[in-house]
Amino acid sequence: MRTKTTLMSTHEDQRFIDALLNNDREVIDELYQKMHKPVISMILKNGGLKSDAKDIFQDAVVSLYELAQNDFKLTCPLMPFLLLICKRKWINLKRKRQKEFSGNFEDVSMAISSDVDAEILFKKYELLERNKLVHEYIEKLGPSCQQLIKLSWSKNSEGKYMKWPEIAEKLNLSYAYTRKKAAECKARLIELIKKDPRYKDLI
Amino acid sequence: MSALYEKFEDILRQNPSVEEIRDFTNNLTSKEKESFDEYKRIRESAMAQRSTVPEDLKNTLNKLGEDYFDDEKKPINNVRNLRSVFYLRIAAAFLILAAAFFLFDRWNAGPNYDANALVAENYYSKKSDIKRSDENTETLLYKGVIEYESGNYNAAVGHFLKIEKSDPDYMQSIYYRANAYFKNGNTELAIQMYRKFLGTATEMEDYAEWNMMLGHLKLGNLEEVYRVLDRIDLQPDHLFYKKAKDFRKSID
Repeated sequence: MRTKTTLMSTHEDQRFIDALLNNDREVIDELYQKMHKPVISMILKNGGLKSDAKDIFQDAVVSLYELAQNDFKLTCPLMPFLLLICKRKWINLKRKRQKEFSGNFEDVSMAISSDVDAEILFKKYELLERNKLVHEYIEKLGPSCQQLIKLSWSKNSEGKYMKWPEIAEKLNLSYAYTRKKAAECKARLIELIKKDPRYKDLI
Repeated sequence: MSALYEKFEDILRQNPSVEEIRDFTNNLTSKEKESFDEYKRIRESAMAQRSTVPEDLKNTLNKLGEDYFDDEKKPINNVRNLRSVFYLRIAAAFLILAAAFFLFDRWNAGPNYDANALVAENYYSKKSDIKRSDENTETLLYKGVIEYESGNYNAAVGHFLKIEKSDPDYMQSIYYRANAYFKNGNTELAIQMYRKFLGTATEMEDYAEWNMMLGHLKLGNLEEVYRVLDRIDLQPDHLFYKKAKDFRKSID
Protein backbone atom coordinates (compact mmCIF):
# COMPACT_ATOMS: atom_id res chain seq x y z
CA MET A 1 0.00 0.00 0.00
CA ARG A 2 1.24 3.46 -0.82
CA THR A 3 2.13 5.69 2.01
CA LYS A 4 1.33 9.35 1.93
CA THR A 5 4.46 11.12 2.95
CA THR A 6 3.33 14.67 3.23
CA LEU A 7 0.66 16.91 4.57
CA MET A 8 -1.22 14.47 6.74
CA SER A 9 0.71 15.47 9.83
CA THR A 10 0.23 18.77 11.55
CA HIS A 11 2.11 21.57 9.88
CA GLU A 12 4.62 23.60 11.85
CA ASP A 13 2.39 26.66 11.32
CA GLN A 14 -0.02 25.06 13.79
CA ARG A 15 1.89 27.08 16.39
CA PHE A 16 0.09 30.19 15.10
CA ILE A 17 -3.27 28.53 15.73
CA ASP A 18 -2.19 27.38 19.20
CA ALA A 19 -0.92 30.88 19.94
CA LEU A 20 -4.42 32.24 19.38
CA LEU A 21 -5.81 29.82 21.94
CA ASN A 22 -3.16 30.83 24.46
CA ASN A 23 -3.08 34.52 23.53
CA ASP A 24 0.67 34.20 22.97
CA ARG A 25 1.41 37.77 21.97
CA GLU A 26 4.86 37.08 20.55
CA VAL A 27 3.75 34.36 18.12
CA ILE A 28 0.56 36.22 17.14
CA ASP A 29 2.75 39.22 16.37
CA GLU A 30 4.83 36.98 14.09
CA LEU A 31 1.63 35.85 12.37
CA TYR A 32 0.68 39.45 11.63
CA GLN A 33 4.20 40.33 10.55
CA LYS A 34 4.39 37.39 8.12
CA MET A 35 0.89 37.45 6.72
CA HIS A 36 -0.47 40.97 6.69
CA LYS A 37 1.31 42.10 3.52
CA PRO A 38 0.05 39.35 1.20
CA VAL A 39 -3.50 39.98 2.43
CA ILE A 40 -3.21 43.73 1.88
CA SER A 41 -1.79 43.07 -1.55
CA MET A 42 -4.62 40.68 -2.48
CA ILE A 43 -7.35 43.06 -1.31
CA LEU A 44 -5.78 46.08 -3.03
CA LYS A 45 -5.48 44.11 -6.25
CA ASN A 46 -9.17 43.31 -6.08
CA GLY A 47 -10.60 46.76 -5.61
CA GLY A 48 -10.33 47.14 -1.86
CA LEU A 49 -8.67 49.58 0.48
CA LYS A 50 -6.09 49.02 3.16
CA SER A 51 -8.82 49.53 5.75
CA ASP A 52 -10.78 46.71 4.07
CA ALA A 53 -7.70 44.52 4.28
CA LYS A 54 -7.48 45.25 7.98
CA ASP A 55 -11.13 44.30 8.59
CA ILE A 56 -10.82 41.16 6.50
CA PHE A 57 -7.56 40.11 8.12
CA GLN A 58 -8.87 40.68 11.66
CA ASP A 59 -12.03 38.76 10.85
CA ALA A 60 -10.00 35.91 9.37
CA VAL A 61 -7.84 35.70 12.49
CA VAL A 62 -11.00 35.45 14.59
CA SER A 63 -12.15 32.61 12.31
CA LEU A 64 -8.82 30.88 12.91
CA TYR A 65 -9.40 31.23 16.64
CA GLU A 66 -12.87 29.74 16.30
CA LEU A 67 -11.47 26.84 14.29
CA ALA A 68 -8.80 26.35 16.94
CA GLN A 69 -11.53 25.99 19.55
CA ASN A 70 -12.92 23.10 17.53
CA ASP A 71 -9.70 21.07 17.69
CA PHE A 72 -8.66 22.23 14.26
CA LYS A 73 -5.38 20.80 12.97
CA LEU A 74 -3.50 22.70 10.31
CA THR A 75 -2.02 20.28 7.80
CA CYS A 76 -0.70 22.82 5.30
CA PRO A 77 1.14 26.14 5.52
CA LEU A 78 -1.06 28.81 7.04
CA MET A 79 -0.60 31.34 4.24
CA PRO A 80 -2.62 29.70 1.42
CA PHE A 81 -5.32 28.73 3.87
CA LEU A 82 -5.53 32.24 5.30
CA LEU A 83 -5.62 33.68 1.79
CA LEU A 84 -8.56 31.45 0.91
CA ILE A 85 -10.42 32.60 4.01
CA CYS A 86 -9.66 36.26 3.27
CA LYS A 87 -10.67 35.84 -0.34
CA ARG A 88 -14.05 34.36 0.65
CA LYS A 89 -14.60 37.11 3.21
CA TRP A 90 -13.72 39.79 0.69
CA ILE A 91 -16.10 38.36 -1.93
CA ASN A 92 -18.88 38.33 0.67
CA LEU A 93 -18.16 41.88 1.76
CA LYS A 94 -18.12 43.10 -1.85
CA ARG A 95 -21.38 41.32 -2.53
CA LYS A 96 -22.91 42.94 0.51
CA ARG A 97 -21.75 46.36 -0.66
CA GLN A 98 -22.61 46.20 -4.32
CA LYS A 99 -25.01 43.30 -4.51
CA GLU A 100 -22.91 41.94 -7.32
CA PHE A 101 -19.21 41.27 -7.11
CA SER A 102 -17.19 42.69 -9.97
CA GLY A 103 -13.62 41.88 -8.99
CA ASN A 104 -11.36 39.67 -11.04
CA PHE A 105 -11.39 36.79 -8.61
CA GLU A 106 -12.22 33.47 -10.08
CA ASP A 107 -14.44 31.19 -8.11
CA VAL A 108 -12.44 28.61 -6.28
CA SER A 109 -12.70 25.65 -8.57
CA MET A 110 -13.73 22.38 -7.03
CA ALA A 111 -11.57 20.44 -9.39
CA ILE A 112 -8.41 22.46 -9.50
CA SER A 113 -7.22 22.94 -6.01
CA SER A 114 -5.13 26.04 -5.48
CA ASP A 115 -3.33 24.32 -2.66
CA VAL A 116 -3.28 20.64 -1.92
CA ASP A 117 -4.51 20.75 1.62
CA ALA A 118 -5.73 24.30 2.07
CA GLU A 119 -8.98 23.57 0.30
CA ILE A 120 -9.73 20.54 2.44
CA LEU A 121 -9.23 22.68 5.52
CA PHE A 122 -11.26 25.42 3.88
CA LYS A 123 -14.30 23.13 3.94
CA LYS A 124 -14.04 23.04 7.74
CA TYR A 125 -13.91 26.79 7.75
CA GLU A 126 -17.03 26.95 5.57
CA LEU A 127 -18.87 24.73 8.02
CA LEU A 128 -17.92 27.11 10.79
CA GLU A 129 -19.10 30.07 8.72
CA ARG A 130 -22.43 28.35 8.09
CA ASN A 131 -22.85 27.88 11.83
CA LYS A 132 -22.13 31.56 12.36
CA LEU A 133 -24.61 32.55 9.67
CA VAL A 134 -27.38 30.45 11.21
CA HIS A 135 -26.69 31.91 14.66
CA GLU A 136 -26.66 35.41 13.18
CA TYR A 137 -30.19 34.89 11.87
CA ILE A 138 -31.46 33.24 15.04
CA GLU A 139 -30.45 36.46 16.82
CA LYS A 140 -32.48 38.45 14.31
CA LEU A 141 -35.74 36.65 15.17
CA GLY A 142 -38.10 37.93 17.84
CA PRO A 143 -37.32 36.92 21.44
CA SER A 144 -40.12 34.35 21.70
CA CYS A 145 -39.03 32.64 18.46
CA GLN A 146 -35.40 32.68 19.58
CA GLN A 147 -36.28 31.07 22.86
CA LEU A 148 -38.43 28.41 21.23
CA ILE A 149 -35.87 27.51 18.59
CA LYS A 150 -33.02 27.38 21.04
CA LEU A 151 -34.97 25.15 23.40
CA SER A 152 -36.22 22.82 20.70
CA TRP A 153 -32.73 22.36 19.24
CA SER A 154 -30.77 22.07 22.44
CA LYS A 155 -30.09 18.94 24.38
CA ASN A 156 -30.27 18.46 28.12
CA SER A 157 -27.44 17.31 30.36
CA GLU A 158 -28.17 13.69 29.43
CA GLY A 159 -27.64 14.52 25.79
CA LYS A 160 -31.33 14.11 24.94
CA TYR A 161 -33.72 16.59 23.40
CA MET A 162 -36.23 18.22 25.73
CA LYS A 163 -39.68 16.78 25.18
CA TRP A 164 -42.29 19.06 23.63
CA PRO A 165 -44.60 19.01 26.67
CA GLU A 166 -41.58 19.96 28.82
CA ILE A 167 -40.79 22.92 26.54
CA ALA A 168 -44.45 23.97 26.53
CA GLU A 169 -44.56 23.87 30.32
CA LYS A 170 -41.34 25.81 30.62
CA LEU A 171 -42.69 28.56 28.40
CA ASN A 172 -46.14 28.44 29.92
CA LEU A 173 -47.75 27.65 26.59
CA SER A 174 -50.07 24.92 25.37
CA TYR A 175 -48.48 21.87 23.77
CA ALA A 176 -50.22 22.38 20.41
CA TYR A 177 -49.36 26.08 20.26
CA THR A 178 -45.71 25.40 21.18
CA ARG A 179 -45.28 22.91 18.37
CA LYS A 180 -47.07 25.06 15.81
CA LYS A 181 -45.20 28.21 16.81
CA ALA A 182 -41.82 26.42 16.81
CA ALA A 183 -42.40 25.11 13.31
CA GLU A 184 -43.43 28.58 12.11
CA CYS A 185 -40.36 30.17 13.67
CA LYS A 186 -38.12 27.60 12.03
CA ALA A 187 -39.77 28.11 8.65
CA ARG A 188 -39.19 31.85 9.02
CA LEU A 189 -35.55 31.28 10.04
CA ILE A 190 -34.88 29.00 7.08
CA GLU A 191 -36.53 31.43 4.71
CA LEU A 192 -34.29 34.26 5.98
CA ILE A 193 -31.11 32.19 5.79
CA LYS A 194 -31.87 30.98 2.28
CA LYS A 195 -32.25 34.56 1.11
CA ASP A 196 -28.77 35.47 2.30
CA PRO A 197 -26.33 35.28 -0.65
CA ARG A 198 -23.67 33.82 1.64
CA TYR A 199 -25.75 30.70 2.21
CA LYS A 200 -25.41 29.60 -1.40
CA ASP A 201 -21.64 29.57 -0.98
CA LEU A 202 -21.82 27.57 2.20
CA ILE A 203 -24.19 24.69 1.44
CA MET B 1 -44.03 24.53 4.85
CA SER B 2 -43.94 24.74 8.62
CA ALA B 3 -45.91 21.46 8.90
CA LEU B 4 -43.20 19.79 6.85
CA TYR B 5 -40.48 21.11 9.17
CA GLU B 6 -42.47 19.77 12.11
CA LYS B 7 -42.32 16.34 10.48
CA PHE B 8 -38.57 16.67 9.81
CA GLU B 9 -37.97 17.73 13.40
CA ASP B 10 -39.85 14.69 14.72
CA ILE B 11 -37.61 12.39 12.70
CA LEU B 12 -34.34 14.12 13.53
CA ARG B 13 -35.12 14.23 17.24
CA GLN B 14 -34.93 10.45 17.30
CA ASN B 15 -31.23 10.54 16.29
CA PRO B 16 -31.92 8.36 13.24
CA SER B 17 -29.26 6.18 11.64
CA VAL B 18 -28.15 6.75 8.04
CA GLU B 19 -30.41 3.89 6.92
CA GLU B 20 -33.40 5.33 8.76
CA ILE B 21 -32.82 8.71 7.15
CA ARG B 22 -32.55 7.04 3.76
CA ASP B 23 -35.83 5.16 4.34
CA PHE B 24 -37.53 8.36 5.39
CA THR B 25 -36.27 10.43 2.48
CA ASN B 26 -37.16 7.69 -0.02
CA ASN B 27 -40.79 8.50 0.64
CA LEU B 28 -40.33 12.21 -0.03
CA THR B 29 -40.66 14.06 -3.30
CA SER B 30 -37.43 15.50 -4.68
CA LYS B 31 -38.43 18.99 -3.54
CA GLU B 32 -39.27 17.71 -0.06
CA LYS B 33 -35.97 15.86 0.06
CA GLU B 34 -34.17 19.07 -0.82
CA SER B 35 -36.02 20.85 2.00
CA PHE B 36 -35.14 18.06 4.39
CA ASP B 37 -31.43 18.32 3.58
CA GLU B 38 -31.59 22.06 3.98
CA TYR B 39 -33.41 21.79 7.29
CA LYS B 40 -30.94 19.19 8.56
CA ARG B 41 -27.96 21.38 7.62
CA ILE B 42 -29.38 24.47 9.29
CA ARG B 43 -30.42 22.49 12.35
CA GLU B 44 -26.92 21.04 12.74
CA SER B 45 -25.39 24.49 12.40
CA ALA B 46 -27.76 25.95 14.96
CA MET B 47 -26.84 23.25 17.42
CA ALA B 48 -23.14 23.90 17.10
CA GLN B 49 -21.78 26.07 19.86
CA ARG B 50 -21.09 29.65 18.98
CA SER B 51 -17.79 30.76 20.36
CA THR B 52 -16.85 34.15 21.63
CA VAL B 53 -13.42 35.70 21.51
CA PRO B 54 -12.04 36.36 25.01
CA GLU B 55 -11.33 39.97 25.93
CA ASP B 56 -7.56 39.56 26.34
CA LEU B 57 -7.24 38.05 22.85
CA LYS B 58 -9.48 40.80 21.45
CA ASN B 59 -7.12 43.39 22.93
CA THR B 60 -4.07 41.67 21.43
CA LEU B 61 -5.68 41.52 17.98
CA ASN B 62 -6.84 45.14 18.13
CA LYS B 63 -3.39 46.34 19.11
CA LEU B 64 -1.66 44.30 16.39
CA GLY B 65 -4.25 45.41 13.84
CA GLU B 66 -3.36 49.02 14.60
CA ASP B 67 0.36 48.31 14.51
CA TYR B 68 0.34 46.57 11.16
CA PHE B 69 -2.49 48.21 9.26
CA ASP B 70 -2.94 51.78 10.46
CA ASP B 71 -0.73 54.36 8.81
CA GLU B 72 -1.69 57.30 11.01
CA LYS B 73 1.36 58.70 12.73
CA LYS B 74 1.14 59.04 16.46
CA PRO B 75 1.02 62.75 17.49
CA ILE B 76 4.40 64.15 18.43
CA ASN B 77 4.36 66.42 21.45
CA ASN B 78 5.49 70.00 21.01
CA VAL B 79 8.86 69.77 22.77
CA ARG B 80 9.87 66.74 20.73
CA ASN B 81 8.63 68.47 17.62
CA LEU B 82 10.75 71.55 18.27
CA ARG B 83 13.76 69.40 19.03
CA SER B 84 13.43 67.49 15.80
CA VAL B 85 13.17 70.76 13.83
CA PHE B 86 16.39 71.98 15.50
CA TYR B 87 18.25 68.78 14.58
CA LEU B 88 16.91 68.95 11.06
CA ARG B 89 18.30 72.46 10.64
CA ILE B 90 21.73 71.38 11.88
CA ALA B 91 21.69 68.42 9.48
CA ALA B 92 20.67 70.66 6.55
CA ALA B 93 23.48 73.15 7.29
CA PHE B 94 25.95 70.29 7.40
CA LEU B 95 24.78 68.97 4.05
CA ILE B 96 25.08 72.42 2.40
CA LEU B 97 28.66 72.75 3.66
CA ALA B 98 29.57 69.27 2.41
CA ALA B 99 28.08 70.00 -1.04
CA ALA B 100 29.98 73.31 -1.30
CA PHE B 101 33.23 71.58 -0.41
CA PHE B 102 32.61 68.86 -3.00
CA LEU B 103 31.89 71.37 -5.80
CA PHE B 104 35.01 73.40 -4.96
CA ASP B 105 37.14 70.24 -5.01
CA ARG B 106 35.82 69.19 -8.44
CA TRP B 107 36.33 72.66 -9.90
CA ASN B 108 39.97 72.56 -8.75
CA ALA B 109 40.60 69.08 -10.15
CA GLY B 110 39.39 69.76 -13.71
CA PRO B 111 37.64 67.30 -16.02
CA ASN B 112 40.00 64.36 -15.30
CA TYR B 113 40.00 64.96 -11.64
CA ASP B 114 40.12 61.34 -10.52
CA ALA B 115 40.43 58.29 -12.72
CA ASN B 116 39.45 56.01 -9.86
CA ALA B 117 36.29 58.01 -9.30
CA LEU B 118 35.39 57.55 -12.97
CA VAL B 119 35.97 53.81 -12.79
CA ALA B 120 33.93 53.66 -9.64
CA GLU B 121 31.18 55.78 -11.17
CA ASN B 122 31.11 53.56 -14.24
CA TYR B 123 31.05 50.44 -12.13
CA TYR B 124 28.24 51.60 -9.92
CA SER B 125 26.16 52.96 -12.79
CA LYS B 126 26.41 49.56 -14.44
CA LYS B 127 25.58 47.86 -11.19
CA SER B 128 22.50 49.96 -10.75
CA ASP B 129 21.12 48.43 -13.94
CA ILE B 130 21.15 45.07 -12.29
CA LYS B 131 17.99 44.49 -10.33
CA ARG B 132 18.99 43.28 -6.94
CA SER B 133 16.64 40.74 -5.51
CA ASP B 134 16.19 40.04 -1.87
CA GLU B 135 13.11 37.95 -2.49
CA ASN B 136 13.33 34.53 -0.97
CA THR B 137 11.43 31.48 -2.12
CA GLU B 138 8.70 31.88 0.43
CA THR B 139 7.99 35.48 -0.56
CA LEU B 140 7.91 34.51 -4.21
CA LEU B 141 5.52 31.68 -3.48
CA TYR B 142 3.18 34.04 -1.61
CA LYS B 143 3.34 36.52 -4.47
CA GLY B 144 2.61 33.76 -6.94
CA VAL B 145 -0.30 32.47 -4.89
CA ILE B 146 -1.80 35.95 -4.62
CA GLU B 147 -1.56 36.47 -8.37
CA TYR B 148 -3.02 33.01 -8.93
CA GLU B 149 -5.92 33.62 -6.56
CA SER B 150 -6.54 36.96 -8.25
CA GLY B 151 -6.77 35.26 -11.63
CA ASN B 152 -3.52 36.79 -12.93
CA TYR B 153 -2.10 33.51 -14.11
CA ASN B 154 0.73 34.89 -16.26
CA ALA B 155 2.04 36.97 -13.40
CA ALA B 156 1.73 33.95 -11.11
CA VAL B 157 3.74 31.81 -13.53
CA GLY B 158 6.46 34.49 -13.54
CA HIS B 159 6.90 34.19 -9.78
CA PHE B 160 6.88 30.40 -9.83
CA LEU B 161 9.48 30.31 -12.59
CA LYS B 162 11.74 32.51 -10.50
CA ILE B 163 11.48 29.99 -7.65
CA GLU B 164 12.17 27.04 -9.92
CA LYS B 165 15.18 28.78 -11.42
CA SER B 166 16.93 28.47 -8.09
CA ASP B 167 15.15 25.31 -6.99
CA PRO B 168 13.90 23.22 -9.93
CA ASP B 169 12.42 20.58 -7.61
CA TYR B 170 10.25 22.90 -5.56
CA MET B 171 7.11 20.80 -5.92
CA GLN B 172 4.65 23.31 -4.50
CA SER B 173 5.73 25.85 -7.06
CA ILE B 174 5.53 23.30 -9.86
CA TYR B 175 2.03 22.32 -8.78
CA TYR B 176 0.80 25.90 -8.66
CA ARG B 177 2.43 26.63 -12.00
CA ALA B 178 0.69 23.63 -13.55
CA ASN B 179 -2.63 24.87 -12.17
CA ALA B 180 -1.95 28.32 -13.56
CA TYR B 181 -1.30 26.83 -17.01
CA PHE B 182 -4.48 24.79 -16.71
CA LYS B 183 -6.50 27.88 -15.84
CA ASN B 184 -4.87 29.79 -18.65
CA GLY B 185 -5.92 27.21 -21.20
CA ASN B 186 -2.42 25.84 -21.66
CA THR B 187 -3.75 22.38 -20.89
CA GLU B 188 -1.09 20.30 -22.62
CA LEU B 189 1.72 21.95 -20.69
CA ALA B 190 -0.25 21.57 -17.47
CA ILE B 191 -0.65 17.84 -18.12
CA GLN B 192 3.07 17.48 -18.74
CA MET B 193 3.77 19.12 -15.42
CA TYR B 194 1.20 17.10 -13.50
CA ARG B 195 2.92 14.00 -14.84
CA LYS B 196 6.01 14.92 -12.80
CA PHE B 197 4.08 14.13 -9.64
CA LEU B 198 3.29 10.54 -10.59
CA GLY B 199 5.21 8.12 -8.42
CA THR B 200 6.05 10.68 -5.78
CA ALA B 201 3.73 8.96 -3.26
CA THR B 202 2.42 12.23 -1.92
CA GLU B 203 -1.08 13.63 -1.64
CA MET B 204 0.00 16.14 -4.22
CA GLU B 205 0.33 13.21 -6.59
CA ASP B 206 -3.37 12.39 -6.15
CA TYR B 207 -4.43 15.95 -6.91
CA ALA B 208 -2.08 16.16 -9.87
CA GLU B 209 -3.37 12.87 -11.23
CA TRP B 210 -6.98 13.99 -10.93
CA ASN B 211 -6.24 17.33 -12.54
CA MET B 212 -4.36 15.51 -15.27
CA MET B 213 -7.49 13.47 -15.97
CA LEU B 214 -9.52 16.69 -16.18
CA GLY B 215 -6.95 18.07 -18.58
CA HIS B 216 -7.30 15.06 -20.86
CA LEU B 217 -11.06 15.42 -20.61
CA LYS B 218 -10.78 19.04 -21.66
CA LEU B 219 -8.69 18.03 -24.66
CA GLY B 220 -11.09 15.22 -25.52
CA ASN B 221 -8.48 12.46 -25.00
CA LEU B 222 -10.97 9.96 -23.68
CA GLU B 223 -8.52 7.09 -23.92
CA GLU B 224 -6.20 8.92 -21.54
CA VAL B 225 -9.10 9.81 -19.29
CA TYR B 226 -9.95 6.13 -18.89
CA ARG B 227 -6.31 5.25 -18.41
CA VAL B 228 -6.03 7.65 -15.46
CA LEU B 229 -9.36 6.47 -14.03
CA ASP B 230 -8.16 2.84 -14.28
CA ARG B 231 -5.02 3.74 -12.41
CA ILE B 232 -6.97 5.51 -9.66
CA ASP B 233 -9.30 2.52 -9.46
CA LEU B 234 -6.35 0.35 -8.45
CA GLN B 235 -5.59 2.56 -5.45
CA PRO B 236 -8.33 2.46 -2.80
CA ASP B 237 -6.46 4.99 -0.68
CA HIS B 238 -6.31 7.48 -3.53
CA LEU B 239 -7.90 10.76 -2.46
CA PHE B 240 -10.10 10.76 -5.56
CA TYR B 241 -10.92 7.04 -5.49
CA LYS B 242 -14.64 7.49 -4.83
CA LYS B 243 -14.92 10.59 -6.98
CA ALA B 244 -13.25 8.74 -9.84
CA LYS B 245 -15.69 5.83 -9.48
CA ASP B 246 -18.68 8.20 -9.50
CA PHE B 247 -17.25 10.11 -12.40
CA ARG B 248 -16.70 6.93 -14.36
CA LYS B 249 -20.32 5.92 -13.83
CA SER B 250 -21.44 9.29 -15.16
CA ILE B 251 -19.45 8.97 -18.38
CA ASP B 252 -19.84 5.25 -19.03
